[in-house]
Amino acid sequence: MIESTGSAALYRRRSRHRGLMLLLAGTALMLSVFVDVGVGPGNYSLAQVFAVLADPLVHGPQLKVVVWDLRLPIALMAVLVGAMLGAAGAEMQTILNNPLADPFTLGISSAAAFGAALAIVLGVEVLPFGGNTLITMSAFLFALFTASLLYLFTRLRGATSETMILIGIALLFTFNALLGLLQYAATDVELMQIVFWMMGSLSRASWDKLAVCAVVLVLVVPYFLYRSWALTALRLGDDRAASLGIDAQKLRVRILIGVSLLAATAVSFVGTIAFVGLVGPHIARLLVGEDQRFFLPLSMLAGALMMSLTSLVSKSVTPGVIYPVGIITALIGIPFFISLILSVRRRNWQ
Amino acid sequence: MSFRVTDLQFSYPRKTVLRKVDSGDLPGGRLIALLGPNAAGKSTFFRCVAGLLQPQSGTVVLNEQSLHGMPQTRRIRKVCYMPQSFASAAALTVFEVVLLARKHLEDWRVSSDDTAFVEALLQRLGIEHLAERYIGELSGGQQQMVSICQAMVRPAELFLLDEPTSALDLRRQLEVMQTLREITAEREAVTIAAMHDLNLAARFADHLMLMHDGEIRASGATGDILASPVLAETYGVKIELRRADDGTHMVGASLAGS
Repeated sequence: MIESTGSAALYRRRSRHRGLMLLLAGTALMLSVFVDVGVGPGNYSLAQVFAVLADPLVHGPQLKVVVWDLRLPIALMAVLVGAMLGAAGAEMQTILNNPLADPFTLGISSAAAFGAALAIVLGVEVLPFGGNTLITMSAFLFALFTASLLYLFTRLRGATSETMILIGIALLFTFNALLGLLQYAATDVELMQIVFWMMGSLSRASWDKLAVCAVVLVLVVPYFLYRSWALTALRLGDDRAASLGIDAQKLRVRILIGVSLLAATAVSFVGTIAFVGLVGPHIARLLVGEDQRFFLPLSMLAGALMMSLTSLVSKSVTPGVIYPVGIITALIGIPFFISLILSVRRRNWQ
Repeated sequence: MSFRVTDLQFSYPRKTVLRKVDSGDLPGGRLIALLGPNAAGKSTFFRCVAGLLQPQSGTVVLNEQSLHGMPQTRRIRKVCYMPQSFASAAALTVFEVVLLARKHLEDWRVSSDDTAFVEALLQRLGIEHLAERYIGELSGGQQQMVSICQAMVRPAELFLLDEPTSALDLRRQLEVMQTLREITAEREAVTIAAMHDLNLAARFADHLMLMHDGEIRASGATGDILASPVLAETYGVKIELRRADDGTHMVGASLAGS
């Protein structure tokens, strides 16, 4: 068969190519998760671990606890949190028209961390149960507040992407200072919890937290996908989007609520994780462009893969020691962030 | 097919833009040029008709249906407005942005009908070779061609094109106007193009509307309007009208004092 070279055929070929990219990223992610579960303190062989995955009690209760209660929740938490941050970053970059936007660089993560810490110090222990819900709610409210603040700034004339980042940094300092204040007032137990939030760590992953993350993803991501065409059109400018019948402001507000929910949930369970929401979407944009039907899923997969690999690295650097993932993503992300600011590869933005 | 605007008025809080716009009955299948000096209110007029601005009063009737109060989602399928500027550097190809304009109100999946339609339109406007290029890499004129494709890919009944040829070279201007004229006739749509080039309007438009100071000063068949003294008056210039060998009008303009 002779392959047609018309633009329609080229477009279909491009779409197939993009589908393949998604498939490849998905496969890489699965592999990474398997290795992540297989590796860790305790020196169990891969065969043993996978046997336990198939049949929990085949190697005794101890290994069941290690695999099912420690490694698997952590590995899956990395995936879900990475996907949440990837989606949040992708849509923040889209609606704010800003290549440097992600929940961390714009201060939303630190706001959520502060919200969580505030709930801890002000008395989660007052409640007999539901403490985690309160922490998440408080984190969400602070994230939403900060996101709204940022949104108001974008409405001001002359708020360039660099200005936005400076505002984000100002927010970051503010909330870090407030966090410091809370730490000063906190008891030892509370202090440990707060430090956990500041560093970003997967070590407290559990099945019920995983369930909450999954529910939030299932609530938010389908809406993002449903508005795919409109979100893509937003990148053509507000005037053009309006001429296509899209109410840009209304869309922005709704997406921002979704983004806040994603970022706040991620932060309230694993603390501040830097730059995953920045790097994931940029990789996706490079590979499949900005048609949201491909861009959003690949941003999520890229974010998830990055988190999963980070989780792997965090326990492989020093045997027996698991470093907080937030530290590692920050160290990886900062050079990327700086090169993004300096590079001429900003042709996709104005 | 017909289109009529009556008594349209629009003001910003401190400035009246449209005083009283009456278009008269505009027939379908004809290319209509909207002429007028800068700041005459042409873009505002388009935006009011497209539903992007809310006029204080007036009626807009398209094919016996009033557009006033029609939900924006329905209105957008009938009225296609192409804004002037096109500046985006997104990582989207030409094919994608044209397809986007057709698909965004419909379902998620792209059918082969959709892609075939886009391909045919790109071919017709002579930019199929740009299909796989990112829009940020295009020249101003090429972006304008994409913008025209984005408008004409939509299945509307009324097309409002704000300066569709302002960034195009001479040959492209002629080609685009010719194609717009043909498409308008085929679809029996009402197409109104705001423009500044009187000669281009004289050659391709069947009907001219002359706007000044938020009012339609004259509206009628191309030859009549060109011959009317209102034209020179509106622009504040001297107008000399000639006939080319093929019978089309040619407009020579000079400053009144010189």
